[in-house]
Amino acid sequence: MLETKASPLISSPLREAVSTSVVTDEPITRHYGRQSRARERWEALIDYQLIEWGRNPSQLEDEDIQAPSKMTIHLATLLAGALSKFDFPAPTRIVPDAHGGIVFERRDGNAFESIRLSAGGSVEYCFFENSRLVSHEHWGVIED
Amino acid sequence: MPGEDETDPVDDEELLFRRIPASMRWYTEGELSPEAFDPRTDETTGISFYRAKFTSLQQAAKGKSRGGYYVAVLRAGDLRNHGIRVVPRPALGNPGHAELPDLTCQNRLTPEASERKLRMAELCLRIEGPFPPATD
Repeated sequence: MLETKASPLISSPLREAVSTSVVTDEPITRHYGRQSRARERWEALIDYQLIEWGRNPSQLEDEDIQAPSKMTIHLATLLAGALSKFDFPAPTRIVPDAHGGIVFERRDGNAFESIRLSAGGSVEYCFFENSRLVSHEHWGVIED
Repeated sequence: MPGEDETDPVDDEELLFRRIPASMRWYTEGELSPEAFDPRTDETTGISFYRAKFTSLQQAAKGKSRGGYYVAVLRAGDLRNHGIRVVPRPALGNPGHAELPDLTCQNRLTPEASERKLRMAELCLRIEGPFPPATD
């Protein structure tokens, strides 16, 4: 007779929990619930802001300010999709800068984070604590 | 005002106005983005402010934008306390013009400039507006 090492009263480890909207505060689903909300936030920003900007970039034109081009908006959409896919925390807002770039901003208490896509396609990450720059990284250039 | 000269140094207690195009979404839902202080291409000697001593809010909010403006209000002394200089730069037709020479379009992406922009967003005392686009 073969002996099993595992107790018949204990199930095998749970590898993946399927998050539903019913239970989001239980430890086993809390992480997945948070991920799901972040992805929803990313999707909303992509669908209702970036894609909308792409349809009508002229809405961002203003005095002495270079509006992001359609290509920059398209690259920002690709960047947002990639960050969402890798579970990067969703930004608080996405705004244009004054030089044709687009910035993803996130504030969390005393921390502030920005990801800047310049008009030339280069991506730069900055993390601040109490308004002090703590981390500054160049992530390279995005191409279509 | 009698006795006031637009070349007088900017006093620490003076309020300063920064015009923010509403269309850029730099002020939304009660939050101000540091990008409101991103120097424009023509801000080569420092980002521009108006001195409240010489400029009304309505005057500060006049510009070419079709979407109108908000006006950010800051205090000169608060900026200086964080190492940001404020200097008078009166111009023809704009006696209340002042500049922050430590933040220009050339240095806008340096770590120091990034910190200054974020700091300014946090030092903002209040936002006035929105002001409608100018009709003249």
